[in-house]
Amino acid sequence: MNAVQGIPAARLERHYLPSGTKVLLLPDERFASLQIRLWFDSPLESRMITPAALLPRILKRGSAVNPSQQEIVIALEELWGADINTRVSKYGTTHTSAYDLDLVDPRFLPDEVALLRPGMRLLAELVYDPFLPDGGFSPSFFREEQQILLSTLERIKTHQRSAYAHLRCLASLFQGEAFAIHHLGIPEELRELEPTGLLSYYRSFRQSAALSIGVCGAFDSLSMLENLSECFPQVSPPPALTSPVPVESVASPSQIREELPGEQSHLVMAFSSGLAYSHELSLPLSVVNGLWGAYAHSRLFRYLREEAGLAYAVYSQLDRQWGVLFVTASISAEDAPQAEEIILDHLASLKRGEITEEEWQMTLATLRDTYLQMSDEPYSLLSFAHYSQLSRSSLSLPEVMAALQKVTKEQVIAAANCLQLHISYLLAGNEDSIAEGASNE
Amino acid sequence: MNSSGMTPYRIQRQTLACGLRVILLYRPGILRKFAIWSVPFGSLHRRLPAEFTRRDLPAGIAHFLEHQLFRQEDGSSVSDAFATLGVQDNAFTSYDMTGYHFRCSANFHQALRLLLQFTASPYFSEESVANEKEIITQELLMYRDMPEAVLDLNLRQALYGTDPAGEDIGGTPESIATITSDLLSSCQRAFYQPRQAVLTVVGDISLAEVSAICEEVYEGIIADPIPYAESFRLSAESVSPGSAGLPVHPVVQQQIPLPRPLFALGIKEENLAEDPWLLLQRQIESDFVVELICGKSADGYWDLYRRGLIDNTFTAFYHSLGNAAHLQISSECEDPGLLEENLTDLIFTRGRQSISDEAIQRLKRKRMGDYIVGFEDFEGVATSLASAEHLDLPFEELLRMVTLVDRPSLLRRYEELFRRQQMSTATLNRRD
Repeated sequence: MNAVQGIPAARLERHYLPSGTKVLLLPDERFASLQIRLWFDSPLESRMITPAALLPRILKRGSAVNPSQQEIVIALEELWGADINTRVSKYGTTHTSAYDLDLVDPRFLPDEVALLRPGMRLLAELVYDPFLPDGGFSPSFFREEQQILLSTLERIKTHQRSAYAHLRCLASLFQGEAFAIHHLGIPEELRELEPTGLLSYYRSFRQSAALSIGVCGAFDSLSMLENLSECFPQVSPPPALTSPVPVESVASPSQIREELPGEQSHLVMAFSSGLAYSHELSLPLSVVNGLWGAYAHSRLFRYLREEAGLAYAVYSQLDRQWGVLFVTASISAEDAPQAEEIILDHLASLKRGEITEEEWQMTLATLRDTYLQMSDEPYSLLSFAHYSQLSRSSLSLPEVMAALQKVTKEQVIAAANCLQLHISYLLAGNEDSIAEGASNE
Repeated sequence: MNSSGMTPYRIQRQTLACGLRVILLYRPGILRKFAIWSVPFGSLHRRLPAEFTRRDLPAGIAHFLEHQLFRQEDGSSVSDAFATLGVQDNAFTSYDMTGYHFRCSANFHQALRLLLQFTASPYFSEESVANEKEIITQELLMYRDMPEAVLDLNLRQALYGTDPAGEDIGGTPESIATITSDLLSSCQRAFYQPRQAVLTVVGDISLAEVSAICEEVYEGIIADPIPYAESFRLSAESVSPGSAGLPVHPVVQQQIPLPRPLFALGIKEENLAEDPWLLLQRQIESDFVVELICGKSADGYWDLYRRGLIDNTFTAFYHSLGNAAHLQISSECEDPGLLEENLTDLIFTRGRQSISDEAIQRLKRKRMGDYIVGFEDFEGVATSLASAEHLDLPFEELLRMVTLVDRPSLLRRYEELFRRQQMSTATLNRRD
């Protein structure tokens, strides 16, 4: 049996609830948990990013049934440690708000308990039946969460310097576009937002965001669909999503340098390929990413870190939606030119087709195993199903792996040759240490 | 060989002739597998056994050794050999353990052989050691740019002073500068023997298969097990008396560029726990007490939250560092003085009231659910299994001990842990 055949048979079931909501079911008895995902997808628009980031935080503060977050937390604890988490994310030109419910599989509990219905009811109440004293969001909840979100945004610069460098690079790459904005929004817009404005956003979100539901775990599909129909009867519009136009290359790349007090500097280089997700060279581009910097055997780890000793953290990551490959290295500012040279040298080498059989096999084997592992993880299975939907890809995991096995070196070289440096961004740490010595009493 | 009752999946153990302890968590029907080979050698271990001439070890050497072990004689990294199999490997060093691990869905047998071989066949050269110093220096600088990591270190320095528990796991640029290939070789010989190691595997495979591979590999490469390395444990030689008693500094303050100050409060255990069972009991009961007083279902948490004194950066947990331990509570806050005042009032004055039977029963259910769901995190559960095994504690006992928790036991724990004289604070103030 080869590895592709070794994947348990594709079990993804696609259904529609009477309300029009799309449902992706992965009935699977191998896991100890039951995971339910609500994905609300909308076209990514700049003016919606800030209210979309604040909304889940307000909704989690209370529902009509449990009008405080403390009561919701207690209700979840009663359900043997059930958990509700929320996320907002950008994926190409799609904006997703996700509401996750995780439950322990009752088969493993000592007593026979019903968790699914009460858990789903808590989730539905949180999303569809919020606490609205006097017809609006609680002003105090709003103020508290607004301040906390503002603080979270402010912390990126001082607490997550590498992420901040990436954000600054994105801001330049997608200047004036929604994708340039951090998924948690814009501080200035957040300060101006009022509870009434957020309520208006919430109402339009309910009407216009396309809901899909994913469930993975041990369940009977028919009764699961009945439960979902009863708990989520709201009518959901069909998705009105677009595919991103890939970032095109530029005649001369931008060099940007900014300074921020700190010990380390962060180099972020963005390379555009012009390749859309659906392009035949998009999958080969993920092999370029693997050869160049995605793994511990990749060129950047091997040469920039292990051989030159310039960095502890260095890696590349591919955004297939935009066809952009980012290389990130955390280094000393004075080493930036040398690091940049090594990064570019290895891209040039890949473009020339200088790919050893060993690194070719290592990269393909690692990519293949990554996909194989996804077939065994509930979270990955659900995410793959959702992202495939957004990317308009009908390929199952085994089909993606089969396509990967057919990728040729010629295609990988061709994909590498599409990459052009677009922006080289350096967040330089000051020479002075950020910290003055600690004083003890 | 044995199996257990209170876990959702079967756990089996076997000690091989070479001394290696093998644990298998059986997950039928799942292709994915995870393996971790670990030894009880972490940043707290700062002495070599008596058989060695140079016995004192510099801070950060366990972490340094972990990095170096990936380097092969031909200049390649062992990660390349794993990648040839499509397998992704990694490693970590904690206060009391070093672990090397991999995850895969195919080629498990070859990957396991590789894991056992490379952890037993180190290659050190002065050149590779010098190169590693540059890489680790970058790693240490990375943590210096993370305010939460700086705050954590400052609090541990306040509680433990110059004791290893108050130092960075990776050491300092100065301490790692003194590391040589000879010293690394001594550490590998002293701490990396099969009889000290635990191999934990999660996946759809039999214990017999795993054990057979271990026997085969070790037969070929372990010719002369070093007798002195048999039971060199944390409690024996390497935890200094400084880890017990009063905190070294009541207050530590530092200024760095920040949008808002960061505040942490620590309460140090007065007495060390020599007995691993006592360690586990303290951990379980302290986790309950902390959650009852300032967890997200507690009145105290929401009182602080709604007054803007804490936010989504708030954390509260009990932290075991070998035999020493402390409670740590931290949050970003505009007014650290006011937070300290309110937090100390909550934990010292009103804390007892939060320990109710109803809340305890509810949290027990939550703990049981968390415990079962935790088995989906292969890396997490395998590391916990290994960590417990190094202390001679069966991981499965954790759940049974959770069921034994009651109000009197938690009140006892509360009185024992929450003592004002054991408290230190660390603050990172804003520097414009």
